[in-house]
Amino acid sequence: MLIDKLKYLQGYVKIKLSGYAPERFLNLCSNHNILIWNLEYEEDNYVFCISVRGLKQLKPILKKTRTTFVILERTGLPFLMRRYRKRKLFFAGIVLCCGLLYGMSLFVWRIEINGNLHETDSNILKFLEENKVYHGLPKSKIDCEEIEEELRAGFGDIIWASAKLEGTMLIIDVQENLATNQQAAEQEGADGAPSDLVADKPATIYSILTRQGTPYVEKGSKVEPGDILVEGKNPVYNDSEEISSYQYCVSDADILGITEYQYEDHFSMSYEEKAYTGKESGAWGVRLFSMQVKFPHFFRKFTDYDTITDEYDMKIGDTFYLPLAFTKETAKEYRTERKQYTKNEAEQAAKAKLDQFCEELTQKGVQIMENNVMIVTDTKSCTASGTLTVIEPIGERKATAATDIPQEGQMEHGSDGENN
Amino acid sequence: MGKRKQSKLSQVKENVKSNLVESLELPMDIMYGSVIITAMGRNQVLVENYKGIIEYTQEKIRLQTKTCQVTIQGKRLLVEYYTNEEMKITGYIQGIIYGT
Repeated sequence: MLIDKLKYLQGYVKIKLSGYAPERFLNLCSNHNILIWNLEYEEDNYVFCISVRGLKQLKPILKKTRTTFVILERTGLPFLMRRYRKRKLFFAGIVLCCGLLYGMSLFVWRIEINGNLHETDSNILKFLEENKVYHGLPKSKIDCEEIEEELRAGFGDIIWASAKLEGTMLIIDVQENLATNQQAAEQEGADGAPSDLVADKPATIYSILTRQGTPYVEKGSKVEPGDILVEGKNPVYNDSEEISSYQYCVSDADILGITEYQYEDHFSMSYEEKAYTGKESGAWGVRLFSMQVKFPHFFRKFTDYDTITDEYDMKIGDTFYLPLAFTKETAKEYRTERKQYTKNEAEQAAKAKLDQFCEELTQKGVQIMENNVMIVTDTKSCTASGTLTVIEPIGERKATAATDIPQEGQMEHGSDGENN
Repeated sequence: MGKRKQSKLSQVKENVKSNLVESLELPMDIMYGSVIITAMGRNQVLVENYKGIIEYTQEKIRLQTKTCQVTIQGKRLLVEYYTNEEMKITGYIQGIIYGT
């Protein structure tokens, strides 16, 4: 295989030899180390292949053996080059193409980010751009380790990052620590400043479990917004059962309250729906670097349409992305149609909306106790209204108002000093 | 008389050489320059240690080696390649004949 390729690169000819002593010619060739292959005997002539270099050494041998040859075929690159020697632009094109490909391969044309759950791709890309890592950056200027460090430093929740270059693609793998996100949120109030838990909506306490602070409510008590549920200070009593001082703390409790949600949904029985007519018109465009050229829709004759744009990146292999992409814009015509819900459909639609609302509540950790929503339909509209009784965690954090230590406490303090 | 002596001397030399080669188990192809013919199936023959081509037609290839002539008979014989040391013959081989 390889030898065949080498032979092709160097070029060889097929010749027909005839004359006085062809056998001697063959022996002389082997003595002069001239390679001959595919030797065939055809009607008193020898036909064989010989390399171009060997052909040039044949002259003295031909003279000695009184033989002559005729060239039958020319094969190989040197002959091909000769044939196309006048097509200079063709060769220039090949060279230019190779040069361009090489030039393009020196830049990063695509940044791929894997493993990010919390941070969005665009967020990370924006951050990278601020740190001078962007599409079209020369590969030589990219320091993968630096990118990794910047990512870890820039995003608190990224605990591991890896950047690698593959072809013209920069692949960034990150690992996020989702657990710390929640912990951080929980510890928001726990910076040491004393705080209370205050009701944020009217509720009846369903259960209360206090870990720190003084509870002000008990199971079954009704609270209004602003009422203190758990206060972040513990009174310290002296021997005469008087408050001598307060110990301030960050209150912490699990409080579940029974609250009510008003649910109100109203929609008209008639609605508009898009009906696609099936007519489409396409227009192609080209994006080179960040330059976008779009051709207009030549055959579009409709006015109401949705536009869908597909972008096809040009790439060689899997990872060699080029800064060239084709875009295809498809316009789909639609017609708006006025439609009327039937009573059944309207009820179903209203119920679906209500179910979705309940689902969202449940996802927030809310438990639904009662569902008193009525769905009423008449000829013009559909109304769903009522209340949902739910059990949900209540209480929001508020700084504890520092209370002056009562006079008695100060006296106490003073007498303490005297005793000492 | 002198001629006889010379031939005797060469015979002795020959004997010593063959004894040496046999006792030391030296490779024959190097010591005598004897021809090596490797036939693979009936379509391929590889000849090593030959000196030259005497005759070549489609039915017959006659080769000169150091000690004898070798004739390869067959049909549509083709020399795939040949160099100083070896040559490869393909075709429908009918016989390998050693001549003097």
